[in-house]
Formats: sequence, structure tokens, C-alpha cells
Amino acid sequence: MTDVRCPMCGKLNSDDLEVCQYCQARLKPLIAPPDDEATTRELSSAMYPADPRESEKEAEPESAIPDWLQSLRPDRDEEEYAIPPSAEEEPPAWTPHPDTGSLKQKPADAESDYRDWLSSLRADDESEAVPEARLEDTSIDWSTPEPEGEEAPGWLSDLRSTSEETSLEIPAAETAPLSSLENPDWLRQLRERQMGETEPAQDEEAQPDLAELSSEIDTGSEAFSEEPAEQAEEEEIPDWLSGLVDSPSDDHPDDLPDWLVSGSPPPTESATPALIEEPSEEGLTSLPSEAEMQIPDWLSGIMNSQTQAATDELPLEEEIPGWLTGKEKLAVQKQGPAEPEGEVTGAEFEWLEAQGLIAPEKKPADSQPKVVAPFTMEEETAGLDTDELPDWLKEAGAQEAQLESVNASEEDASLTPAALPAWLEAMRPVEAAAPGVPRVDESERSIESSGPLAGLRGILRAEPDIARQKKPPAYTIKLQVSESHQAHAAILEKLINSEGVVTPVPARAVVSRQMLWRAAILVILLLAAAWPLYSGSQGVALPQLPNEVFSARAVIDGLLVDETSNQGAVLLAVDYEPGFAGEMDAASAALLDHLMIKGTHLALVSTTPSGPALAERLVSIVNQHSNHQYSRSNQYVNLGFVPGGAAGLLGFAQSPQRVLPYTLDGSDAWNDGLLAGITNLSDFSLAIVITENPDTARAWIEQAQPALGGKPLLLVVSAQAEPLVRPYFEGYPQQVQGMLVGLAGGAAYENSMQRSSLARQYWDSYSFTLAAAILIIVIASALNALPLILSRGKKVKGEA
Amino acid sequence: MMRGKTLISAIIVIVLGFVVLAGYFWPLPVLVSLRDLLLKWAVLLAAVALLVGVVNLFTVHWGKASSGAKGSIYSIVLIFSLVITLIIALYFGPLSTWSLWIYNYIQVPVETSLMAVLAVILVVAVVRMARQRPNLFSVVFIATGVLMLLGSAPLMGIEIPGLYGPEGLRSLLAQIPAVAGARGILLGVALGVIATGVRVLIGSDRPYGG
Repeated sequence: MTDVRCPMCGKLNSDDLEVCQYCQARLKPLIAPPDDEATTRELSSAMYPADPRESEKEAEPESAIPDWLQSLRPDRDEEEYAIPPSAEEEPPAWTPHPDTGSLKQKPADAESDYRDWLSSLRADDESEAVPEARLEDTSIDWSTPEPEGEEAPGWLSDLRSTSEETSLEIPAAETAPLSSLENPDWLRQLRERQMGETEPAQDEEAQPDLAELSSEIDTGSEAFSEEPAEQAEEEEIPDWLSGLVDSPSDDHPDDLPDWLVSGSPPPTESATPALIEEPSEEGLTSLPSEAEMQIPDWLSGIMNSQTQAATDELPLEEEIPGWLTGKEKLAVQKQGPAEPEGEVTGAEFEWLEAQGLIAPEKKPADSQPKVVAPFTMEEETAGLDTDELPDWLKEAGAQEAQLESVNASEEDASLTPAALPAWLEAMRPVEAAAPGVPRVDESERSIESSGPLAGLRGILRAEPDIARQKKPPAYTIKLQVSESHQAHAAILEKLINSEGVVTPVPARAVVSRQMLWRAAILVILLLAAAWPLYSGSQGVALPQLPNEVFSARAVIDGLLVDETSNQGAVLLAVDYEPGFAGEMDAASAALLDHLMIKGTHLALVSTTPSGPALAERLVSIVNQHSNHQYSRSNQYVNLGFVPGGAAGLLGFAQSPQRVLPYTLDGSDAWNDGLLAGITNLSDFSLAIVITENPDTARAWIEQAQPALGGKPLLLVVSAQAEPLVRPYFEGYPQQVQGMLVGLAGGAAYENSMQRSSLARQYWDSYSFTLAAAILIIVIASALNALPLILSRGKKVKGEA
Repeated sequence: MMRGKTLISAIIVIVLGFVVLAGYFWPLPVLVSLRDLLLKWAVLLAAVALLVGVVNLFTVHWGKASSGAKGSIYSIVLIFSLVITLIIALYFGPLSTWSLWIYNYIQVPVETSLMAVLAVILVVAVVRMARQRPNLFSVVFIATGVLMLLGSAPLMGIEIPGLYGPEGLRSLLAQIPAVAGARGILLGVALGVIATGVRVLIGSDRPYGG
């Protein structure tokens, strides 16, 4: 069992392992079962884009040159050829794999370097002919015949002549990807064909038998020398190689090695250079130098011209030839697997295989890598312009196709195993000699599945790889619940549970504390008011005569009444609401009694709808309590209601006869009867307004008082209207000559009259009720405020 | 921008207002007679408006009573009382015995009882205020009310010196702070009336609509 060295850690692993047992890196490339021919064509079309301009922009040409040829470039630093430390342990990359029998994989950009190198050759040729021509134009010039014997090597001229002689047609499918401007199209085609041949579905038997090649390499130049030259020329040597041998260049006979010039087989072991004779580790380490490699002159000349052409014509960054970036490619190659290189290996040894030096590799059908082309053949061939190809290139392609068919027919088990000549083995590049590492075919698992690059393989997927390198943060799945959370959750649960529970509404007490308070207050006030009335007590002294009452009495006392005439007629306005009848009747009873005593004629009027009835009621009450016999139409007339509010009152004040021409009983109030001869308010001796409403009192004062013509105006108002009416009494000039305020005013007037009327009856009850109300307010307020005072005192003490 | 109908109304109000106002400043016979005429029309319109109000009241409650909605019983009582009173007053006259009986034994006791209940409610309110708003203003309010009550009448025949009479504490409270406040109110009312009159005269305030 052969061990496989891990490309990542460099440790040996068993052959049957697919991943490294130390670092879990993949040891074997991802492969897919072979597909049909269409798949192979899609593979080739995928590898060679149809658009030549895009192919120029890409870095693909950098890897077109075989690695072993890259190492031969003269301008490479010696450091690039330094063998890595592992070179001493690993077999050379170009040697067959000990287990698989296939050559070790090469970097994916090998083909691009190959094409770059060859394109630089073409550029070198053209730079001499047309130095100012751009690199893009060289493809056209390339197709044009060049003057013989100028710069082209003889072997290349022979190759072109051989291609021109070939009358085979190039298949359209094979010429499709050939559109590069920098590289010779025929080489691209050739490479494409080689790539196609390496596909397992197409010609798996066309692969060189690397196992046999390995054995041949082991035998070295001995096997090569044992092959008869005739057999090589007749059977296995390809035409172009045959042309090289048969028609050496006349122009540069010195550039070719002697064995090529003479067409003889390579020199034998004795003639082999020391470097080639002993491709040992020591020799490999000393390979980097060009001089040591003993590159033929013709090849070094080509590379020199290539370097010169690239320096002169190519842009700085975009058109850097592939062999300049070979260092970077090499570094990438050493770091890890890049792309499947079985095709590259096969292409590299295609000419050997065609020559019969090596046997085509026989790979199992299921071990061939499956490449999924990102584009279809139709898309590939769509942008191909086959007319641009020169005829000789088409013929060369046809010739190659023919050779392919010949190789396919020659696949036979009886083929002689190919042996790598020693001289060729010695010419292998350092990269090939460097220890190779098994590469993993990343094509399958790196196919882009989304985005604009969907379908492409080998794409660097930065994010997933980076994400994998990170260890995902460990999140505990256990819910972290704090005590506060638990408390809130409990509250929430309790709240939710309480939604479905019917909370019994507390039964409302039939008798509440507040209701008891109200009832108690009511009872106390009723008892205080009813007890004097029930007992007939009149023990409370009446109040003294205030100034306003005194003035009112003085006015009434000054009335000159003539019962036979209308002299001394009094206008009595009863403008209070029935609800205030108790207070207003008692307040005005003594005054009306005094007027009745004087025998004045009364003209009752009102500005409220209920006023006329209240006036009748008031007269009847006074008659009842003061023993008067005042009757309607004889001593008083009821003019009724004055509508219109202040306006109506103004109209009445200015023209009472027009506003109220009739009494309530329908008689003419102003022409006959008590009010005959009275046309204005000034004809009345006195005007008395009984009201509980300050606005009504103000209306009378403002609207009617000016119409009185200096006649006095007395007001009997309730206690609540006193503050608003008093200014008219206390003002100067006085608009109100006297006032009786509330029950106290009536009681004072009665007291001054020394008569007993309603005020006297109500006075004791009023006094007791006031006392009860005051006691209730004081006691209850104290009881309510005491706890608050005590609590505040405790707080103050606590703070202190 | 006033519309046509509103413009006409405004013109009428402004013209008549200036005529009545001019009758006060220049008591010319024409102006005075015109002013008296306009005032008489105003009184008549007010009386008609009262009748319109009565009809509207009857219509509204008739609708409520007809719908049978909640509280319609009160509408029925109102309509019944209105009709009975109207019939009695129209048939017997407003100063008839039956009319005065209805008035003296139904309307006056009902309204007087409400005023009596108001007295009890005021006492309870003062007590609750002392409990629920025990602050300085409540104390001032309660103290003032108590002083006014004390000064209104001798408590069960007991006279407190310094409370009664023209020079008593009650008179001081009623005539100085209360009258001062009342005068301010009256001045404000007078200014408001003047402003309202001016606004009506210039058409800025249109209580008649528009």
C-alpha cells in the first residue's frame, strides 16, 4: 500500500483514505463519472470562452505555458527555482503518481502560461516586423505569411508548412473557442483538443499510461535509445515533430540541438549532459539557473525575444504575460490545490503520446472528473468567427483532429509503454521536480449556486469559508429568568387567570355613611326650623334697623297719599321666582303692610311670567297677616307681565301705557280707575322692585330708574343679591334710595314698625336653623380636619 | 363675506340700533316716536317668542311621549300639566281662584322645597369640603360662610357682640369685600354690554344668524 502525502500538512496517509487523518484535508480530488460527448464539449467550451477580448482581459493566458517550459524562461529569478524544503522528500511533480499512475497535477494556469509564452513568441516576431503594432493586431498579422528566413525559427516554419499541406478541415465545434488574439489560434485549438482528449468521456484511453510512463522514466534514456529510429518516425512521431526532424531550419541551424538537426535520436547515455543523466535531488536543487539547465540556443533566443516583445508592447498590468506571474502561480500551487490538472497533464504529454513515447493513461471511467460547463455549445460557438482563421490553421486543426482519431485507433493494450527520455526528463522544470501534493478537485463542491456567477466552479467563496473559520458563539438555550421576570410572569399569569373569574361586586350598602350624614343634617335642620314654628316661639330679638332699611322706611313715610286721586300711586314690581317666595314674601311683607297702612294705590307689574301670580299671592298674604282688605281694581291693579326683558322694561319705562295698556282682568288700566292720569313712570310716587335676581334689579335700576324722574326707587332683594345691589344704594348719586335685604331686612322693618308679620314668624326659626347649620359645619369640619392635622403632626415629628 | 340674506339682516339691525341710540342722545320727536315704536315691536316679538317657546316645548315632549322612550313619563306629565293650566287660565282667567290655587299650592311649594333642600345640600357640601379639601382656601371659605351666617341673625336669641349692626363684622364682610367684588363684576358687565352693543351695531356680532 502506498501512502499519500497530505497537501495541507505534508504528512503521509494511507492510500485508501480520502481525507487526511491529521488535518482532515481532502487527499483525493473530487471526481465524477464520465459523461457523454456533449459534456466533454461543454467542458472544453467552458474552459475556453468564446469572446477573445474577454479572454485577453482575463489572467488565463498566464497559465498557458507548461510549467516545465516556464522554468526555462531566462528572466526568472533564481529564487523562483528554489526547491521547497519538501522537495527532498517528495518525488518530482512530473513523475507519475506511485498509486494512481498519473502525473501529479499542475497548476490550473499552466495552459494560460503556455499560451502566453507562445503568444509572446508571435509578438516577438511581429514586433520586429511592425514594432508599433498592438498586441491585438498581431493575430491578424499572424495569419499573414511572413517572409521566410527573417525571425521565425525553422521548426515553426516547418510546422506552418506542414499545416498548410494538410488538407483536413477543422471541425466547427473545435474551432469555436479559438479566438484569442494574443496566442496562436492553432495552439489554442491544439490545446483545446488536448483538453478534450483528456476528458474521460471522450477518450479515456487516449490518456498516456502514466504508470507505464513511470516505468519508462525509471529506465531513463536506456529505453529511449533502444527504440529504433525508424519505428519512431513511422509510427509514433507526430507530423509536426516529424517536420522538425525532417526539415530543419536553414536560417537557424545553430539554434537547434544537434540531435534535432541531424534527425538522429537523442544522444545516448554517454552523450547526455550531466544534469540530465542524474536528475537527482542535488541536480534538481541546482536547476534554477538557465545556464545550468543548458537550454538550447534556439529556445533561449525565443524567450529573449519574447521578453523584449512583452516589455515593449504589453501594458503594464493588464497584459503581463503569464510567465511573469508564474511566481505567484507557483506560490498558489504550493499552498494548496487549485484546479483539476489532469487535462493539463494530458496535454503536456500529448505529443509524447502521439509519438508513442508514452502510453496513454488509462483511467477508470468513474475516476474521470466531471466538469459541468457553465455555458452551452451554442453560446460558445455564437461568438466565434471562423472566417478570421487562416486556412493553414484550419488545416492544422483538421490535421490534429485526424491525429486524434489515429490515436484513438491506436489505443491498444499492445502499445509499447512510453519512456521519458532522460534528456527530456532533465529538462523538466523545477516546479515539476518539486514535490507534488495530491490535489483535491474543488470543482464540484465550489460550484456557485447563486448570483451573477451562478454555474461557475472554482469560485472563491469568501463568506462561507470565513464563516466556517469562526466558531459560532455559544448561546445557551436555557431561558435565563430572573426574579423580577418571575414576579412579572406571576403577575401576568394572575391577571390572565383573573380574566375568566367573575369578581363579585361588593354589595352596596343600603345605608351608607354619607347618606347617614346627610340624613342627620337634614333632621337637625328640620328640627331647628320646625321647632320654633311648632312652638310659636318669638323669643329671638329682631335685628336693629340698618341704614338701607331706615332709608326705605323714610321714603315710605314721606309719601303723600291722596286716596281720592292718584297721588301717591306706587309701582310695585314683583320679579322673583316662586322658589324664593318664602324669603321675599317675608322681606317685603312689612314694607307692603306699611304701604297698605298708608292707603297707596298699587300698580303691580312683573318682568317674569310668574310675577303676576306672585303679586296676587303677596297681596293676599299681607292682607291675611296684616288684616288689610286690599282688593284688585279698588286699591291695586295687576298690569301683568312685561315681556322682552330689558328692552321690554325700557319700553315700559318710557311708555307704560303702550306696553301694558290693560290689566290682567282686561280693564283699561290707564284711562279709568286707579291709574287714570298716569302716563309715565314719573307719575308714580314710588317704585318698589322685589327681586332675588341681581340682574333684574340692575335692569330696573338702569332702564326704569331714569324714567322715574327723581322719584325714589326701593329694592327688596334677597340676601344673595345684596352685594350686587348695594353699590347702587351706596353710590353717589344714589340710584336706589332704600333696600330691604332678605329676612333680616324685613324683620328689621317690622321691628321698626312694631308690627308682627311674616318676618317675625320666621325669625326664630331662621335663627335656630342658622345656629344648627353653623354648629354642623364647625363640628363636622373639625372632625374631618382633625385626623389630617394629627397625621401631619406625626409626619413632622417623624422627619424631625 | 356675508351673503345676501345675512347682509339684509345686518343692515336692518345696524340701522335700527343707531336709530334707538340716537333717540337717547337727541330726543327729537321723530327719533323718540320711532324708538318707542321699535321698542313696542320688540316687546311684542318677545311675547310671541314666549309663545313660540311654549309651542316648541310642547312639540318636543310630545315627540318623546309618542316614542315611548325612557323618561317619556315625565314628558307626559309636562304635557298634561301644560294643557290643564292653559285650559284653566284661558277659561277662568290668569287671576282666577283656580289658576291661583294651582299656582299657590303646586308651583310655589315645589320650588320652595327645592330651595329648602338646597340649604341642606349646602351644609353637607361645606362639611365634605372640609374633609376632602383640607387646605387654606377651604378654611377661608368655611370661616367666611360661618361669619356671614353668624351675622345674619342672633343664634337662638344670643347676640354676639361685634357681628350685628352697620358696624358689625358681618356688615363689613358684606359691604367691603363683597361689594368690591360685585362692583368689579358690574363694571365688567357694563363694559361687556357696551362691547356687545358696538359689535352688533357694526355688524361684527350677528346673534340673529348669518
